Amino acid sequence: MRAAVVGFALVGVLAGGASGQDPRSLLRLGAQAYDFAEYGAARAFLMAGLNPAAGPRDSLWVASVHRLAHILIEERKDSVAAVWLRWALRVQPGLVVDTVDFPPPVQDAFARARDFVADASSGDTLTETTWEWVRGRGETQSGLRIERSGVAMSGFVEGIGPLPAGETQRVAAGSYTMVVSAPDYFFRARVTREVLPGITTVVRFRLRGLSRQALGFLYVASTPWGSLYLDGERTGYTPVAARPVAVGPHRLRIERAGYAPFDTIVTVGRDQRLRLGTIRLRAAGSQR
Amino acid sequence: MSVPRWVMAALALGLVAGAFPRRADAQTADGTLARAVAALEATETERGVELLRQAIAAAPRATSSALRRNAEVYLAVASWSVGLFDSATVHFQAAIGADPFTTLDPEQFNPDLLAFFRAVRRATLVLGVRVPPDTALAPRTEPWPVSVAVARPGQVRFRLAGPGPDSRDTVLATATVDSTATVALALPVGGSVARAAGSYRLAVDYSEPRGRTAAATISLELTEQVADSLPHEPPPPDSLYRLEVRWGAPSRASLVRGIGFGVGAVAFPVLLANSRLRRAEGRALTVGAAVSLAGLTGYFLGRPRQPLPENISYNRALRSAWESRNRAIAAANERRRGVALLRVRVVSQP
Repeated sequence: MRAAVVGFALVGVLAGGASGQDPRSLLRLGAQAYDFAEYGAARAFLMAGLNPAAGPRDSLWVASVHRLAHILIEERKDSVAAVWLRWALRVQPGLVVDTVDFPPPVQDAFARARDFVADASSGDTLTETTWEWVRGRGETQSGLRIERSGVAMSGFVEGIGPLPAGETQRVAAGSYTMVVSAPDYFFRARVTREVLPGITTVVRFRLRGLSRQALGFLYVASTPWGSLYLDGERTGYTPVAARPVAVGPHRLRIERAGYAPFDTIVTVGRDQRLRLGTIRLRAAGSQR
Repeated sequence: MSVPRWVMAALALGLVAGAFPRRADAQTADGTLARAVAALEATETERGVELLRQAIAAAPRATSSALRRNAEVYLAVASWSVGLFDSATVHFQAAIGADPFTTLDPEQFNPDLLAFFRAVRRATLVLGVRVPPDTALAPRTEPWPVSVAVARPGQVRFRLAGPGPDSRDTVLATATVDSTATVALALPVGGSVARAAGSYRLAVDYSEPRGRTAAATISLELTEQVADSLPHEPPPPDSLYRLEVRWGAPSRASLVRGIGFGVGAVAFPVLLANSRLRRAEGRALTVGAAVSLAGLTGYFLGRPRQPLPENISYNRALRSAWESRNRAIAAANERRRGVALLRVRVVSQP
């Protein structure tokens, strides 16, 4: 009897279009379809209903994340499941994993996603992220966009290329690291965000209220190029020029596979332009 | 009406003076670029950027595409390192425009810059064509290599028109090119290389799947080329030859024979001659001494010559190898004289 009811509901909803429904209803329908192992339908309902802007992130929402992850793992789409879980943990950092109703692979996937998300960067506090859930039928492309904010700003996505403010970059679902710069505000941030299948991730940077703490500027290059860490946080690759840093001492490290890491402590004064020149990395095992 | 000499001299001076600034500009741009690179290495980024802009402004547009490309790449990297990513995009586009074959070395540029450059390149409509500036080939057997660079995979069509301005196009080849490729074009010379000589235009048309197109035209001059013949090889120098005979040790038998004849020459007249003649002993001694001396001389100078078969065969092989090489050269020259060569010279290219 219940199966027939769910079946009718599925037929009705699919005929009307899942996106036209209330997200809460979609999550409930997704739960019912999941219970009846109708994974294809459940996945569609859950993906459409998880929009965090459409309702509270309550127990239904949390359980829906679990269900979606379980379905994707069952369908051997672990990487897509990982993207959804990272996204969910960024949206709801205090999300408690259900270890009773969901099997260990789901718990393991949550643990990996939590490790990934734990590496927050200093830019996260200035970043506001929203997602554009597309209404309407048909497959839509995933995308990533930096919202214009009236501030001259430019960015790029690591491994992808330039991301001018206001332009949507079409990308596959996944986690992407953006480097965004607003030289007028002495602002440069590196943030990682998830792009969900068929959904555009929109990132805004709140710069107008940026505290004008005392800053200096760091210039560093290396040969060969390497990954630059400032106070333990990865800031990108060398070369770096006019990078705003807080006044005071900083631990600086340059790493490159096959080369001995370069470590030093630099002290930057107010408005100082500290130029370290080109640091020549030594091949690992070579004599000093 | 004759032109005064001083007018001719002034004109010549003007021409020379007009030619020198361009060279001077190029040298200035080169020096400025070198100073800019040194400034960037010292992380004097702002000064480096200023010098790079000066280098681009000083570089003659027609002759310094490599310099402009390098300066624009450095400017893009400097802009990227400062966080001006939109400017970096513009400078990478300019570098690709200056030289569509521009690539970045993964050892020199970090992965973000490489990905950035690749994305800019994909978004830039570009077609680059490179051909050998002046070459001679046997058109029936040797194709003419043409390199093309495109930003996105697409179709590239090569059309040749000529000789003369009103002649029809001939499609030489069509190729699908992902990024860069070298296409071997067979030049249509018909029955006679001499008759194919003239001015041609090679039109290269590129169209990408999204419908965007680009084209480039190269003007060519085709002429018949007389084949160069190879010079004959000079004979091997004497120093390469080995001695064919060796002098043997002196013969003691000849020494004994010489002395024996000498003694005989003295003893016979003394012992056996008529007593009236014995007063001629002195002469007999002289003859005997002369014969002995001849024996001694024969001993020291008359050393036997011994042939060395190994050296003789080595020298013979050396001579025959030289002769065979020269025969091969003569045959190659004969073949070359039989092949009609076509000289392909680029008159103008994009």
